[in-house]
Amino acid sequence: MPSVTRFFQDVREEEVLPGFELEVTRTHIVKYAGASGDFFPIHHDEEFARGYGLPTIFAMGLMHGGMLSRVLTDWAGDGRVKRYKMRFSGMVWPGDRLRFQGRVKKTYRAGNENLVDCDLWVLNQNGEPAVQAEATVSLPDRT
Amino acid sequence: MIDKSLTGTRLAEFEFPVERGKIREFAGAIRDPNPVYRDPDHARASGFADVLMPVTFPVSFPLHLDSDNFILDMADRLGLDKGRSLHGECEIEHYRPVCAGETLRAEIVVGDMYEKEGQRGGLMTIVDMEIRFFDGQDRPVLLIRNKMLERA
Repeated sequence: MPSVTRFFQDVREEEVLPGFELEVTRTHIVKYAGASGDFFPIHHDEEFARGYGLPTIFAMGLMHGGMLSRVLTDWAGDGRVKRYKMRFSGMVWPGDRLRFQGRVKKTYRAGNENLVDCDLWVLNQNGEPAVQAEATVSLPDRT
Repeated sequence: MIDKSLTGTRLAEFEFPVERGKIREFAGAIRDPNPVYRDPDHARASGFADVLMPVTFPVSFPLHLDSDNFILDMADRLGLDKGRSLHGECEIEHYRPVCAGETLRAEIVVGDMYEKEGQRGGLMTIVDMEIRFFDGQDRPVLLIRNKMLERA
């Protein structure tokens, strides 16, 4: 959370990024809807969701996909993410208990930069993936 | 029924002001307490011009368009069936850090629209979209690549 400096030389492939857990509430969804401007009714309007055969509203993938980015930036430091790609694999419902995790996949140099590719993911209480993400960060040299 | 004539068209061009209050709100919504998103002094001490935008912050662009419900309107405009459509993928690129105080120019471009065999069988329709952001010198600074899926 504070301004960490992660040096490229200290990173190991397969290194685990510290993660966290969260139980999803309707309030989380509503807050994220307002913050991001996603007012697609299926995420906040129970009648609308039921009208399409769903049991209730479900969370927009960018909500927990956005929450997942903290695993990356808490570890890598601020302003270092070049690329963050989310694949929305499974639906997330109010009451789901989510785990947010990540791991270093590869370290390499390209075009004068120290790059680290990471895999990140969100799992629900059944171990099913809700989001599968890949990211690339650029890290400084240990001087 | 998706409107394939929209492929390659620019749906909107708009200004995207990057603001402290919105960054604070967004960081709260993604539950990231990092002070770099909230405290200008801390952000500056960390080497940034002002509070930094969170990684996925660019997706808040709908608020800057003249629509009461942009996401809903966009689904209708593309011809996506609301009951069968899902957000498939979203990729965000940052070419440099962007902080509060900048105003970017953004454009929404529809990419390919095509069918693909779904994992559970049946034909899935995919709509690719890009939202491109440029700074005051017209340099690209951010990019969102979105994939919307409509199930068979």
